[in-house]
Parts: sequence; structure tokens; C-alpha cells
Amino acid sequence: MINKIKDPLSQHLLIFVITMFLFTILVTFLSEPYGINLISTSFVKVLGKTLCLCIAAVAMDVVWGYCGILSLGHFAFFGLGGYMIGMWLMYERTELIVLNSINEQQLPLTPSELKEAIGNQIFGVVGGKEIPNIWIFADNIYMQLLLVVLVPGLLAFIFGWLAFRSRVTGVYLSILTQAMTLALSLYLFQNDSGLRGNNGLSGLQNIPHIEGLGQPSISIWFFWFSSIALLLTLFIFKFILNSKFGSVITAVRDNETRLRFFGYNVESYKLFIFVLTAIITGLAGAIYYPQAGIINPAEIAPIASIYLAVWVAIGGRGNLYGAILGASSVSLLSSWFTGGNAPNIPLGFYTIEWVNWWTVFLGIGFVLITIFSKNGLIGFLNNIFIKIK
Amino acid sequence: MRTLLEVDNVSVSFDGFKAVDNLSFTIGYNELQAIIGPNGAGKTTFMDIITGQTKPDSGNILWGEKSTNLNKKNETEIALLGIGRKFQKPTVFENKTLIENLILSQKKNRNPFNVLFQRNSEHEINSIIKILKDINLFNIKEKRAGEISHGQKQWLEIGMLLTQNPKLLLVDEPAAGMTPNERNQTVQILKKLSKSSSIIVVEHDMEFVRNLNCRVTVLNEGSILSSGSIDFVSQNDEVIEVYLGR
Ligand SMILES: Nc1ncnc2c1ncn2[C@@H]1O[C@H](COP(=O)(O)OP(=O)(O)O)[C@@H](O)[C@H]1O
Ligand SMILES: [Mg+2]
Repeated sequence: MINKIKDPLSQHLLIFVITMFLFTILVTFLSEPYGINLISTSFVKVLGKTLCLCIAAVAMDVVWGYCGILSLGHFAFFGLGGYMIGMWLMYERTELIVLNSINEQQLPLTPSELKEAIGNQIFGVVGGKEIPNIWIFADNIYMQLLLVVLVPGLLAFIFGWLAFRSRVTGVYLSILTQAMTLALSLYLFQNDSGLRGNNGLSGLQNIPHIEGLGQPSISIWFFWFSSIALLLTLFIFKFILNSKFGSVITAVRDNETRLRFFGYNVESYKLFIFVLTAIITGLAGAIYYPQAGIINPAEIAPIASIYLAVWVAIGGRGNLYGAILGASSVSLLSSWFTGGNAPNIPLGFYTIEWVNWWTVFLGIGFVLITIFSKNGLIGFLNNIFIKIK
Repeated sequence: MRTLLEVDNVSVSFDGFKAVDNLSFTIGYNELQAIIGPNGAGKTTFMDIITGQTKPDSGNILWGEKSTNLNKKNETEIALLGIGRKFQKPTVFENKTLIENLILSQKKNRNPFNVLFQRNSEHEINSIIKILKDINLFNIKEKRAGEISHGQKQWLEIGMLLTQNPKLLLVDEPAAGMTPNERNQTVQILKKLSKSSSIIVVEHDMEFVRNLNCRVTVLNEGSILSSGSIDFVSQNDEVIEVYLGR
């Protein structure tokens, strides 16, 4: 009774797993390559990307909703994960292209000639052909996958260690995290950053060696992959939150001074959560960008991390399903309104164009939800459920 | 009776003002004692001295069988020796159930990696159950701490101290803000607990202290006016003057 504070495999999680499973099957069934061709490949990609954003939102909810650290820099980790996997995708594909074109001429290349050809292809746009040192492992997928974990993890560790050790909390910490993502984004905008400046990395949807499968199939594969990743993320965080560790981090959120009195090293708990959520967010980014096809420094502009917090707040802070609900509904609506699909509203004297007015609409929605439902959309739904019962 | 704590001729002054003046005090194992006195008498300061929050200007504080001197130890070291303190204002984790509060305060490894996989042995569960029963909260153990009354929070806080297995409990004004019924229960709880640990209760409510039925030390302006049974001290002229004279 006391050992199991809450059942880790709760009813909700089971329902969610089943729902996700049915949803994934349904999408596959409606898809072009594996089903009756009712939904387009680009829509499958939108869904897959949305699932990745949900992973980031779940991580954001853990760090903010449960541990009380309002990080406004987590999208930097998302982007870094994308860049790390993007390096391999781009390098490997370019190498294959170079090798293919050489085959026709029947003239084998020396390794340094090959490198130069690849460098020319990738870095021509930023006026270089030298392959920067940070690309040293780019031809090795395992190393790049390791970097997907290590780079966001290490950045989060160093940043968190410095910030938490100096007892930076609250709004000061939020500002610091914004500064971090801004600095990173500005750095990457430079042409000599080694990551192609504002061009970013592109062509990421063409997955080397399996390009022959075609985008429709690949998109379904990635959709499945994203879906499984979201479930794994939920499992990991549910395990943590239902353990005594989870009880400690919500205590950090509620009263960290009191917790220190009990002999807990609050900083190491914060650091643990900050780094873990950064790593998971980075992994989500690594699955997102091959579906998006392109990553550039604008992706990790400060506003992106703020959006992440907005999704969580709208969905319902301190509830992982709330984070998923918020991220999926807002990001889907957002791509609908800004994608030019929503019909403009002509008022005679003025026409409401959603591309411009969507943010206003979102802002008003955000204010209304935070005023009328303390626990966001999920709290609102919960209340309705309770009333029905 | 064997001595657990001996406070020997201790004085503390703040900017020349003597808050505690040449005070001596002893308490034995599993003994319950009360300290009373009007506001500003130096009761809280006295507790601060024992727990290391305030260092005495002169005098010694000796602890346990070996008469360890506490003067040079810091707060954490003193707490680890087995001195637990309940502050006047209860600070429990309101969003957590009573059980979760107790599990959080439990004396166990606090390393994050260890905590992640920490489970409670049957023995540990039983000791938490025992504490819940001792503090009269067993029946509402699944309630959130934010939903219980002020008095019950005070008991929960005492329970959180008990999870540390303290040898000596310092309890500052436990009855403040309690209903008469809760006061009676608090008396029962403290008496029960004193069977397995020593307790010093600071209180200015005479009736409450009378019910505790233990040795009483009356403090005024930093020094002891009288000490003994409640009936004995309440016959002391100075005590009567301090409490009733004004
Ligand atoms: N840190 C301090 N600095 C200055 N004066 C203090 C400090 N702590 C207590 N005092 C003074 O010492 C006296 C005793 O205080 P205290 O121990 O809190 O009394 P009690 O708990 O019996 O009401 C009071 O006059 C108080 O103002
Ligand atoms: Mg006091």
C-alpha cells in the first residue's frame, strides 16, 4: 500500500497506449503506400512531426509542470538533436551522390578527393569547401546518434550546473534560458559556424540507403517511429514521476527550502531533470527534422521555446496528457491557419487573413484558458467528465 | 536517570541584550519536560542554542553518554546526532498525501539515482504505520496535507520528525492555534512519544502544560525563575507575579 504510492501502469496510461495504437493503425490504413490512399504523404508527415512536438511538450511539462523550472530554452535542445542527425543524413547522402556520379566516369577517387567533393557540395552555399572539424564523425551514424544524446545533454548539464549551483531560480532562470537559445541561434546564423549558417541543413527527408522506398513509405515509417517514441517517453516519465523521485521533484517545485532542511540536495535533482528532459527533447528533434526535411537556426529562435511553454500551459501544466493535448491541438491548428488552408474572412472594410491573425487568436485563447481553467484544456475536460458522471 | 542533554551555564546576548542568562538545564532519556515563560523570555533562543542555530557566548552543551560537546558542531551535524526540531509554523507539503510527506522525510539515502529506485521494506512500512497511529492520523493517511486542519498539520510535522528516529524532540508551541480537543490530543500524543524519546515542549499555555504532567521550567528574561512540578512552580511568588501580576 505504501510502496506503491500510485500504480505506475495506471488506467490512463493503458487507455492512452491503446488509443495511440489504434490511431497509428488508422493512419497507416488511410495512407497511400499501406492503405486506401485517403490521406496525403505530407499530412502523414505533419502528424509524425506533431507527435515529436508532443514528446518535447511532455519533457517541458516534466521540467516545468512537475519540477517547477520554467525553462524557456528547451527548443534549443530540440534543434541540436535535429542538427546532429542532420549532419549524418546530409553527409552520407552527399557521399552517395558523389560516388554515384564518379562511377559513371570509372575513375576512383582518393579519400581526400572524395572529402573535397563532399565539402564542395555541402559548403558551397556558404563559400567554403573545407569540411569543418565538427563534422568529423558525420560519416558514422552511430557516432552522430551518440551526439544526438551527448550534445543536448552536455549543454544542459553545463548550463544547469552553473545556474542551479548559483541558486538562480524563477524568472531569472527563464531569462537565462532564453539567452541561451538566442545565443545558440545567433551563433548558428553565422556562415562560419560550420553548420551552413542561415541555410541550415536540408534534404534531410532523403534518408540515405533507403531512399528507394520513396517518401510515402518513409513517412509512414517515421510516423510509426514517432508514435513509439512518444509512448516510450511517457513510460519513462511515468516511471520517474510515480517513484519517490517524482515525489521529491514536485516537492522541489512546491517548497525547495523545506526540502533542503530534510537533507535533499535540491540542485542535483534539478540538474537530473533538466538534463534528462533536454536529452529526450533532443531525441524528439532527431526524429522530427528528417520528417521536416530542413533545419535552420530560425527553428531555435527564443519564440520557439516560448511556444513550447504555451502549449503546455494551454494543455494543462502538471499533467502529461495535458501537454500532449496542448501541443497537438495548438500545433495542428497553427499549421492549418498559417498554411493558408483556413478561409479568410472578408468583413467588407477589412479582410481577416488568418496567416496574420492566427497569433492574435492564439494569444486570446491562451489568456482565456489560463483565466477560466487553472489546469488548462485537460482540467476543463476532466471537469466535464466529472459532471457527466 | 541517565542524562541525555545537559545545558551548562549558557549565556547568549544580542547586541548587549542578554536573551539567555546563565541558564542550566538537564533532561534524561525518554523524559518529557516543559518550558514556559512569557513572550520574549528566551524560549525560542534556548532551542536555537541546542540545535546550533545560535552559538552561546559562554557555557557548554553536552550530549549523550559520552558528553559530546555540541558547541563546535553545526546544525546539520547536530541534527544527525538525533535532535529533531518542530518549528512554530508547520511547513508540510500541502500537495502530497500524509504518507507521501512521511516517505519524503524518511531517513534514507537521498542520492537522486538511489531515490529513483527506492522502495520501502516491510519494516520501514510498519514504522511509518506506527508513526501514523502515534500521531492520530492513520485514518486519514491518504488525504492531502493541504486538506487537514492546522492542528493535524502540527502532528504531521511531528510525525515527519519522528521518521528521523530522533533521540530528542524540541517542540515549539505545539498547541498554538489548536482547538481545545486538538490540544488534548496533542497532550496524549506527546506523552505517548515520550515513551521512546526525550521531548522538550515550549509553551506559554499553563493549562496545556498542566495536562502534560511533567517537570516544568519557568523562564523569564533569559533566566530560570523556578523548576519542578506544575503545582510547585505555580506557588512560586515570582512566577505568580510574571504570569498574573501584570
Ligand atoms: N537574532 C536575534 N537578534 C536580536 N534579538 C533577538 C534575536 N533572537 C531573539 N532576540 C531577542 O531575544 C529575546 C528572546 O526571544 P525569544 O527566544 O524568541 O523569546 P520567546 O520564544 O520566549 O518568546 C527577545 O527579546 C527577542 O527580541
Ligand atoms: Mg518563541
